[in-house]
Order: sequence, then structure tokens, then C-alpha cells
Amino acid sequence: MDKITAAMADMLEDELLALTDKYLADGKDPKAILDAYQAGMTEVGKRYEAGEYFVSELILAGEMMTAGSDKIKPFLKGDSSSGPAKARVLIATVEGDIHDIGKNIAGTIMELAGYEVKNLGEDVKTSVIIEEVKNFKPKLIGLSGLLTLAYDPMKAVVDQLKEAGLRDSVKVLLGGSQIDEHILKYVGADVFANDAMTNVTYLNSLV
Amino acid sequence: MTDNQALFLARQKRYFDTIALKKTDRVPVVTWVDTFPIRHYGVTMKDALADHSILDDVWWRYHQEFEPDIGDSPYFLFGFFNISKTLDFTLLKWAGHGLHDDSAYQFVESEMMAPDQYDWFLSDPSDFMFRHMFPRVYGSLAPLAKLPTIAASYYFFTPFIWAALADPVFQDVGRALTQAAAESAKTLGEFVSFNTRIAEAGWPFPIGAMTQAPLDVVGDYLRGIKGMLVDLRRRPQMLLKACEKLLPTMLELGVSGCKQSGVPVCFIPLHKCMDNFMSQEQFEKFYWPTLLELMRGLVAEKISPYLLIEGVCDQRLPVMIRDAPAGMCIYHLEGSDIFKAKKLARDKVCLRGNIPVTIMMKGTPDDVRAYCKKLIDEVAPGGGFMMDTGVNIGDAKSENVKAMFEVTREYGVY
Repeated sequence: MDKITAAMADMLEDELLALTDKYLADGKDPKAILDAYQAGMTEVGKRYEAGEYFVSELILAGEMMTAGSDKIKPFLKGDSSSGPAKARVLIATVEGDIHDIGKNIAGTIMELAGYEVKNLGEDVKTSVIIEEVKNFKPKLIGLSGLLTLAYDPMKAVVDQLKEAGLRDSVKVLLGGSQIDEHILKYVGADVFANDAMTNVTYLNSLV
Repeated sequence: MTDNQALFLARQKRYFDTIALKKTDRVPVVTWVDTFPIRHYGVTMKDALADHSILDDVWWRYHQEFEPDIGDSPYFLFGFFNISKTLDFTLLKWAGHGLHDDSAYQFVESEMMAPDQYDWFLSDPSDFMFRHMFPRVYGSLAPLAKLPTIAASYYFFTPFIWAALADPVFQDVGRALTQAAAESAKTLGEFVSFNTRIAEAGWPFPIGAMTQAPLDVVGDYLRGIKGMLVDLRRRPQMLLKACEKLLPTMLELGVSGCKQSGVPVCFIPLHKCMDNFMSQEQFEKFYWPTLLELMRGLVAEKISPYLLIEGVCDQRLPVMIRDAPAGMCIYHLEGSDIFKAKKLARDKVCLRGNIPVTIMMKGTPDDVRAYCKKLIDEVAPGGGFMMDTGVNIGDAKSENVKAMFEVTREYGVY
């Protein structure tokens, strides 16, 4: 299985998928193969944090993981996941902003890191986010926005969480390239991220 | 010479001398206003973007009130909106068109070119644009996808090619194009007339044309950011070929636009340059060579490349500054460390920026003044610096915009 992990970590897509086909045909334990993928993803994350890998590798790794899982899943009998999720995460691009690329990459990376991610989409009304916090009970809400107009809707989410008595039950992360400590303070969130791996590092510190 | 002509010449000299790294009377304060005049003068985004007389009015008032060192035209960006409506353009949403009445505008990026379409694009980019891109991005032009290629239409070889146009849907296409032509010509007239008006009032226009780095064109319009980034590893040769193919076209776009407008500055916003998108090695292989060629091509025509370097590009800047044609370029930094960049840029490029937009939006006038003074103290010495925000002042507080202009005029004197 080390070869699977290494191929994933080294971004050797063709080799990874060929190995997966071979191992599955040889009757190897599909769960063990999936775990090896996860181990490879963890290594990808480490290399990203070390500055050896970039957003391009995170995206490709996400696609490799999806392609691999699609091959492996039919072989998993009833056990379609690699264990219970570490925590629940709710993500949304806030009202008024329709950008989705950064949020979706972040969502994929968190899923790959073992979190259960519910993605509410883009231009999501504050009231919808608050309702979902009540129902889904996430450990973290990731509020995304590329534009400066996202700051006020982000603040509205935090304010309404307070009003609803939910603020202490959930951490709030702001994501977007125009977010900095000024906005973090303005919104009253817990943390901000300008890239997809910060989310995972922060989540890992919570669980 | 009238006072306004003298003002025009003084502002023009200050702007171009700063690009040329020459000593000027003071630091110019220049900025992209984006939607600022619309909000500042209290009109709704929806009304302003629909009615060009409102745009004209609030932009004119902005020039009168803030007295910037260069002019700004609403038509450079917003002129496209009503034209795009006539063709049902699908990649742009704005107030009243898919967005709330107070939201400005947002571009929608998507993968328009599938991986197996590189060959089509490379063999005939115009055919690809006409029969693949146009039908997908313009709802009204969807029938163009039904047309055969015209690449080999040597007269009697293809006498029945016109029959395709007999389909009644092409009557709708014809009507949409007629509308687009009328709207486009009308808006161009408004653009020229507004520029003439502000020029006569003493404001030169800062840019003559816009183009983009070839790899950004692939990422923004063809493969989308995800497609482009995975192609760095999956299809590196195709990606390089696409950049090479785009280079002459993007150069021609900049050169012809600048010659037509008579302003020898070409705007090049950099979208996928950021440090964390790809490795430095990949940047130097895929992004920089064709961008540098583009810049050199412009400079050969005596046109200054004006790079809006979005995001954080601290690792890119040493190479970008090292290779830059000296005394010809503006590097407008958004989130990169401008103080560090100054040490490298001194005899090479004019730096522009970079008051964080977050300070402009949520800070106080004192915060703005403090940041501007730091910029003037550390980045202005020796010349080659333009005061600006990191991106634009679209959502900035009015009092903060005022503070930026005031402090630069007072404290930015050489």
C-alpha cells in the first residue's frame, strides 16, 4: 500500500490509478487502499504547508482522490467511508457574493481530511445559514467571500448567531483573498484563511 | 493656454515622469474608482449601471470633488454591461441582472474549453471563438454552434454553406447582432465624449488599452482556474503551446488599442500570478516567459506595460523586477510587500499601491493617513511611486478616500 500513498503524495496520477485497478483486481482490501489514499493526501497537505506544493497540487490531489474513490467504492461492502467524520463543517459563500471556486476547493480539502462538509452554495442568505447551524450542528462555519461586499453579510451571520444564542456552540472561519485581521475583528469571527489548508490546520486544532 | 490645458499637461507629466522614474513635484495620487462615485453620490447601482447619463454625471462630479491626478472613465468597465445585455452574455452578473440592486457586478468563471479541445483552439483560435466560445457565452449567439467551419470555404467548394443560415434562428441572431452593434457604437461614442470632456477639464486618461498574460487568458476564459492549474502537470506541452499561440494576439490587442486611443500605457491585470497558485519553477516556465515577451513587445512600440499584480506575489517579484524593461513599467501591488519590493525596484519599475482595501473600508481617516505616510516615507524616495489602494476604492468610505487624496497632496511633495 505504500506505493499508493507514495503515488498520491508525488502526484503520479496515471501510476496511482493503474495501481488501484491492479490491487482491486488482485482482491486486495479496498478499505486498506482507501486508507493509503488518505495517507497520501495527508502527505500532500504537509507538503503544501511546507511550501513544496501549491494550490495546483491541492486541486489535482482532490481530483485524483475522487477518481480513486470512484474505483474503490463499489468494492467496499456497506462500509463506504474510512471511518466516522472527525467533525461537521458548514460552508457557504455569503449573501451578495457568487464566487465559488475557493470555497469549493476548501470544502474538498476538508472532506479529504476526514471532515463532514455541508456546502450551502453561493449567495446564501444569513437566515439560511443560521437555520442550518441549528439543524446540522457544525463545529465550524466557513464563510466565504471574494468581494469586499461580503464583509457586512459575514458580520450579520456572527451577529445573528449571537442573537440566537448559538455563537458559543460554533467557531466561525472567514475565507477569501480580501480577508485580513481588520475584517476578522470587524466581523467578530474566530479565524480567517487566505488558503485552503489553513482551514484544515485550524480544524485539526479543534478536534 | 487655458488653466485646464496647463493642468492637463502638468498631470500628464507627473504621471509619465513617475513611470520613467524621473523626479516629479510630488507623488501622484491615482486610483481605480470602480463603483465609488455611484455610492458616494447616493444613486443606486441598478440605476447607474442601466443609465449612462447617471454614470457620466457621478463620474464628472467625482473628478470635480476629489481632483485626482489622472482621469477615470466609467465606460472602461461598465460600458460593456448594456452591450452584453443585447447578446445575453452569461458570464457577468450585475445589479438588476442576477444580483441585488445594490451589488455591483461579478464575473462568473467556468471551464469553457475541455481538455480535448486544445487542438481545435491551437489550430484555429478564431474558429474556436466563433463556433465554440461565442455560442456558449452569448445566449443570443447559441445558433453559431450549428455553423460549419469556413476555413476551407473557397467559393465554389462550398456553394451550399449559406444554406445553414436559412434556419429561422439566424434571423434572431441577426437581430441580436444589430442591437449589439447599435449599443456598442452608442457606448463607444459616450466613452469618447466623456474622455474628451474630462481631458478638456484637465484630466489625462491613464491607460490606452488592456491585454492579459497568455496564461491568465487560458485560466480566466478557456480552461478555468482549476483546469489550467491541473494542466500544469497533466498537459504541460498543450498549456505552453496555448500561451505561445495567444502571445501575438494579446500583443496586437494592446498595441492596436494604445495606438488608437493615443495613450501609451497598456493595462495588464494579473490574475493567476500569486505565490500560492503554482511553484516558482512553474511560474518561470508557464507564466512569466510569454508575459515578459508581451511586455517587451509593448515596450518596443513605446508602450508602458501597467501590471496590476493581484494577491500576494512576493516570491515572483524579484524575477519580475529583474527582467522588467527599466523605466517603462508600472507594477501595481495588491497584497505583496511593497516596502520590500521598493528595495529591488528602485531603478527598474514604478511601484503603485497599496493601501489595503480593508483599511479603506473599515479603517478611519487616521489609519489611512498613517499608512499613506508610511508609503510616502518608504516607497516614494527617489521617485517612481504612485499612491493608490491595493485594488480599487469601490467600497471605500468617502472620508477615507478624501484622506488618501489630502495626505498625499500635502505630505507627498518631493
